Amino acid sequence: MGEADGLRKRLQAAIDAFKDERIRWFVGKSRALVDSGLISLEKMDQLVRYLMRDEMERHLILRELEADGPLTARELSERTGVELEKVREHLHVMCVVGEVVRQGEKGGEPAFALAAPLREIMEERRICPCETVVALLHRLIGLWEEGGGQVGKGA
Amino acid sequence: MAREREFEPLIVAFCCNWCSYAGADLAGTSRIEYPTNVRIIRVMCSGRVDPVFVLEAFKMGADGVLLTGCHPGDCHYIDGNLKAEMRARYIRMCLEEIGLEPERFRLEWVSASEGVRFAQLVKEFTETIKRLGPSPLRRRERG
Repeated sequence: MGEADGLRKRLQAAIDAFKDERIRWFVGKSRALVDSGLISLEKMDQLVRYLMRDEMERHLILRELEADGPLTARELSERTGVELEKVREHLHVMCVVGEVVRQGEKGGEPAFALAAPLREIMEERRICPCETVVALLHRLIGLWEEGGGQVGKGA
Repeated sequence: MAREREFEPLIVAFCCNWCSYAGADLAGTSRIEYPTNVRIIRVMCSGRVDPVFVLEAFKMGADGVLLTGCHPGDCHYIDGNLKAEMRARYIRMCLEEIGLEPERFRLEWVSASEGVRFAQLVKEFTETIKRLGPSPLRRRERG
């Protein structure tokens, strides 16, 4: 993947992410939240950066699955440049919320595909922040008892 | 003989209707010269500018994006420019994340009486973008 191609893909992922309700809500409310004293500007920056990165990575994955799915976590990691463990975590979250489904295997690894046309997934993302909630539960309290953010070591 | 042409950046400027656009207009009517690299898009308020607009401009090949609004406290809609300020913060953050220089995006306050300032700002920003070079996303121009 060339430099410009990679940049173009990341930019598209950022555009997709900024259209999602989960990012828009934080960006829209950030000033009010900071002014209220509930959170410092630095903390808000950290939070938005963390969410933005997550959402951009998920959109990179969704676009790759749309173009060439089904793909394994390893293939997705190579194509998107996102760390393998992060890809696995994103896939787990997206499976839980029903955006992605497991579809067969490739070289002994589970392959994943979109659960619905990308347009429908995007529309749903514009109104529903459930991935954020699932990801937070996953990271904070260990939604899946074993693995702590990793989807089955062999996946 | 083919000569290497100097890079002329393409800059998209979002100007608010009440202050910055009037400032740009004043620069024009006062015959103050400034680079022709800027393409102005008039919006009713800088707070109307969605981060997606800025990112789309980069996607379509803009080398730089300038967002101008009323000075804090002067917004026609009370706090639209303050909302824009927060968004600008996240736009810069986003550009860093994707690997595009955050200096390609700039937010500035320009009032309706600041024609000279508007012209100066465009000159400075054009120089900054010239230093940075063409956006990697810009389509190759045919010579």
